[in-house]
Amino acid sequence: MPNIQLLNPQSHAGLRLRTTEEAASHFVQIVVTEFAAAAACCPILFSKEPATGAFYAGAIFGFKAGENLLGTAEERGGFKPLTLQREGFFLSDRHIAIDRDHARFSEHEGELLFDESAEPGTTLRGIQRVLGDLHSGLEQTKTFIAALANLKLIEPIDISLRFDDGERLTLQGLYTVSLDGLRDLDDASALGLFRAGHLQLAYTMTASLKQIGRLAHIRNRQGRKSSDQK
Amino acid sequence: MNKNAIRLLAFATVLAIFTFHDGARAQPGGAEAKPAAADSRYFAVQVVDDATGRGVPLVELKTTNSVAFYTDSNGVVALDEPGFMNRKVFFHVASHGYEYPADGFGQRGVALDVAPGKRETIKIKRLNIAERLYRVTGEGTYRDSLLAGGFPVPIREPLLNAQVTGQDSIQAAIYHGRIYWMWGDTNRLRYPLGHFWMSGATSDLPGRGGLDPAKGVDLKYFADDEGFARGMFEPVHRQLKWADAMMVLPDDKGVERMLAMCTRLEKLDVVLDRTLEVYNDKAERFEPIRTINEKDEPLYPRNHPLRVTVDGVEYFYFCDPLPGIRVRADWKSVQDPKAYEGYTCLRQGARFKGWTTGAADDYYYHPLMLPQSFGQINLVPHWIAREDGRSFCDAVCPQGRLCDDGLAPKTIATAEFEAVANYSYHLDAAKFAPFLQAHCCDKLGVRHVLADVRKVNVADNGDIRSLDTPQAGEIEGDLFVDCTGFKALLIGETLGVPFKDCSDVLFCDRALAVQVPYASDAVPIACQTISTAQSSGWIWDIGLPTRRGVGHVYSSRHISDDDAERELRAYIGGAGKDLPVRKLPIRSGYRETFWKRNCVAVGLAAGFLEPLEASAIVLVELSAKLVAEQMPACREVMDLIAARFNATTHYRWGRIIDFLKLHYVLTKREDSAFWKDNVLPETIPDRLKDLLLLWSHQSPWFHDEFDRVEEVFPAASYQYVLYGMGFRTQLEPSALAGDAKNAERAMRENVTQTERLRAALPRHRDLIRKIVEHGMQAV
Repeated sequence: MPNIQLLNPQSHAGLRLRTTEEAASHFVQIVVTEFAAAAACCPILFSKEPATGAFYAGAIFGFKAGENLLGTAEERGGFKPLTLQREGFFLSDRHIAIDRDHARFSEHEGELLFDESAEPGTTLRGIQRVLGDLHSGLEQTKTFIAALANLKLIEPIDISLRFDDGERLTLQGLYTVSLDGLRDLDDASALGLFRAGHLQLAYTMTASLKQIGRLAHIRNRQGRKSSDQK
Repeated sequence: MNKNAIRLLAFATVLAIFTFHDGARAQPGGAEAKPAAADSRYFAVQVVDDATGRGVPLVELKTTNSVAFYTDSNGVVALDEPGFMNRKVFFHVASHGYEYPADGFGQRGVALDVAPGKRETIKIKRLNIAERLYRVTGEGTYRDSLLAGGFPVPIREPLLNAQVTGQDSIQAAIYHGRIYWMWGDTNRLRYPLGHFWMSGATSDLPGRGGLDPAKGVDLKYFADDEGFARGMFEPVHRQLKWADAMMVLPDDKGVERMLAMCTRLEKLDVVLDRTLEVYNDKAERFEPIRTINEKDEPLYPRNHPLRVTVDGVEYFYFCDPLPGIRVRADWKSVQDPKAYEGYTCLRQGARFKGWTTGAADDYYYHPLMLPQSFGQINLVPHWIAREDGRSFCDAVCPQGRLCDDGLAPKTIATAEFEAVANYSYHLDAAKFAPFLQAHCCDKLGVRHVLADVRKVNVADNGDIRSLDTPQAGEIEGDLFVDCTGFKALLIGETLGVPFKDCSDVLFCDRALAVQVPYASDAVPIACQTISTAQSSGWIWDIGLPTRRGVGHVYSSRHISDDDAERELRAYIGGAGKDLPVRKLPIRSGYRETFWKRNCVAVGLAAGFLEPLEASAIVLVELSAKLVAEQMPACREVMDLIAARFNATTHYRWGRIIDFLKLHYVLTKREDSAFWKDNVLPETIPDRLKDLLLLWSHQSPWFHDEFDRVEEVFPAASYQYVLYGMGFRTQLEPSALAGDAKNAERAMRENVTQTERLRAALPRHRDLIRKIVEHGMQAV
C-alpha cells in the first residue's frame, strides 16, 4: 500500500530525494513527446490498460516481466522516460502528492525538496517540470491514439521470438500502427494526420519496430555471456 | 415507516455524497443551538452522529410500551407525554444504516430522565458510507426543533410546504440556473389520495442565493389556487402521469430546454401512452412533442439520465438501474428513437436443468466452445474410460465452470466482437431490424419500398408476376423472397405449398412470456440461457442488462394454460406474483417446399420450431446467404437452383428437429405424460433412431456424417447433449488405441486453461458495467 500524502513545505520540510536505481520494468509507459528519443533506443508499441481497455503507448525495455535489456539511462543514450523520472510523485488535481514510503524519499540522504524559505528547491522544480510535461504529454497521446483509432489505424501485432538458447517467447496484447492502413488513407485524412503532427509519430512507431531485432540480439549476447561464466 | 419516508431516506443519501466532495464539512446540528427556554414543557433529545456531532434524522426512539418517536431533520425529538414526565424512561434507538451499542442483554437503547425543559444528547454510530443529512419534503421536517426551541431551522417552511405531507420518486435537473425538482406521487392532509401527476418545485443553486446543501434545500413549489403542490402537466384526472429522464440541453436555436419522458397510466402496469415532453417556461409545465410507440421503439429515455463524454461525444446514459441505454446529447438525437443505443448481454450457451431425472442437482451445459483439440482427437471415449466423476463438459472445456462462476466470456481489454470464451448475443429484434434496414439501404444500395401487398398477380406459367400495392402501385419482379411471417402470403396462400406440421415429434405448441426485473443492480446477470424442465415443457430464463426474460414453453395437449402459468409463476417466485404474462402460439413445422417457381420463403414464412436451441436466426442467415450465393442468372436455371436450395434447407430443418428431439428422448423422467410420450418410438424420427443406435457403439465426431458445409449444430453439440444427459457409448478398445497420450494432454490442458480463465475473467455484470463506462476497442 503506498502512503500517499499531499506535498507541502510544513510536513515535508526536511524531506530529501535520494538517487535510487530505477525500477526494473520491461514495458514503460511513454508519451508522444518522448517518441523520437525512445525510438532511437527501443521499440514503441501500444498496450491496453487492464481496468478500462484503453490504449496507452509504451517503450519496450525487455521481453519478460522485470527484464531490462537496456541498462541505465546513460546506457540508453540519456533516454529516461518521464514516468520513471517522476517515480514516487503524483499529480492530484493541481497539487503534487508523494508516496512517502517510496525508496526515493529520505530524511538523511540526498537533495532537500524545499529550501530554507520553504520554496521548492532545484530538484523539486525539476520534478514539477516532469509532472507538467507528463500531464500535457498524456493529453496529447490520448488525442493521437483517438485519431488513429478513428481511422482504424491501430492493429494487433504478434511478436514471436526464438533465442539462441532455444527459449521461445510470444508477446501478446501489443498493438502498432497499420502501415497498410496508412497507405490506404484518403487524402483528406492523411493531410489531417500530417497537420496534427500525428503522421510523423505514426511512422516513428512503425520504424521503432526495427529495435525489436536489436533487443533480441542484446538478449542473445547477454545469455551467451552468462552461460560462458557458468 | 411508510413508503414516502423510505424514498426520502434514499434521497438524503444522495445529498450526503454531494457534500463529501463539496469539502465544506457539515456543521453539527447542535453547534448553532441556542439554550432552550427553561420554562419549556417539552423534553428534548437530540440524536447525533458520533463522528460528526451532526443531528441524525429519522432515528426511531421507542419506549418499552412501543410508543415511538422519530427524530426530525436536526435529529431532535421533542416530547411532552405526561405519563413519561419526571421518570426514567428507556428508549430503544434504531435507524437504518446507524447503530446504537447493545448492552449485556442485547438491548440497543438508553434510559433517560425525562423532565420538562430538559435536554439530552444521544450519540449513534454510522454504518453507512453516506450520512443522512435531513428530510427534503413532507410534513414536520423541523417539527421537534421548533417545539423544543433553540435549534437552527434553515428553511422558510419547516412544518408544511405547499400542503405536501409526503412525496416519492424524485427527479432533479439544473435548468436556467435553478434546480428543478419533480416527484411522482404527492400526499396531502385533506384526503388519503393526493395527486399522481408529478408535483414540482425549484430551489436556488448553492452559491447563487441557495442554501449550502449541507444545511438544506429551500423548496418553492408550483402550487394551485388552494396553495397545494400542483401537477406538472395539463390535468389528467382519474389517471396517473409520471415524468422521468429529465434532460437539459440546448435546442436547435441554442436556447436551453428541459425535456422529460412521460408515461400516462390508467392504473399501475396499464400504460396508456408514452410521450416525450418539453417544459413550457410560461405555463410552467411539460407539454408533449412526440409520442413513443413502445412496440417499435423499445429504446427511449428512462429513469435518471447521466451525462457522459465518450471520445469527445456527449451522451445521456439512462440508468435503470444500470446505464444500459444511451443517446447523443443533442436536440435532434434525443427526439429520435432510432438514435438511441442499447447494450446487450453476452451468452455462453445454455444450462439445462432437470431434463434427465428432474432431481435438484440434475443439470448439464451445452456450451459454445468446442471440446479441446476437437479437430485432432475425439475425447469422448477417453472421458468414458477415465470414469473420474467429472462431467463431460468440465472434462473437455472450461465454459461450464465459467458459467457456474457467473463470469463473462471476455475482458474489457478484449476487442469488440472477439471472445476469450466463445459467446453469442441477445439481439433486440425491434432494434436489429431497423439497423439491418439502414445498412441495406445506406451501404448496399437496396431500394426499400414500404407498402402493403393487396394482391399477388400470377403469370400464365405459374410464376409470381407482380404485387399490387396501394402506396407504390404494381411492383414487378424476377424473384420474390417471401418474408411475410406466419402468413406465408406468397409461398403458401398464392403458390399453395402446404405446411408440414411436426407437433407429432416436438409437442410444445404454446409459450407464456414474462419480463422479470432484477431485485437490485447487484444481482449477478446469468451469462447463459437457463432452460429448466417442467412437468409438460420447459422454462427459458435469459439474463439481460436491465431485466430477465423468462418464459414457459409447453404442450397444450399435456397441461392447461392455467396450470402452465402456475408453474411459470412458481418458478419466478414471490417477486413475479403480479407481473403480466403474454401468451404466444407456437406452430412447429415448415413448408414442404421452400423455393417454388420464382418464390423462396425465408424466416417464419418458411417455418418455425420451439426456441429450445435458438436456431431461428441462424436459419434465416443461412437461407439468405444461400439465396445470395446461388442467385440464378436467368429464369432457365432457377428451377435447378431451387432444387438445390430445397435439398439443403430440408436437410437443415430435419437436423434441427433431430437435435431438438434429442433433448427429450434421452430423458429418464417418468413423472408426467409429457416426458413419457416423448420417448415413444413413433414420435422419434427414423434418422435420429438410427443415429442413437450408432452412437451407442461409437460416439459422434466431426467426420461422422456431419460433413455438410455449415451444419447448424456440429457434432460437438451432439456430444455435449448426449453425454450431459447421461447417454453412454459402449467402449471398443480400439477407440482408445494410440491416442491416449494426446487425450491425456488435451484434458490436462483443459484443467490449466479452466483455472487460468477463472482467474482472469471478470463477473458478467461487472463487464457489462465497464463496457457501458469505457466502451470496447475495435481491435
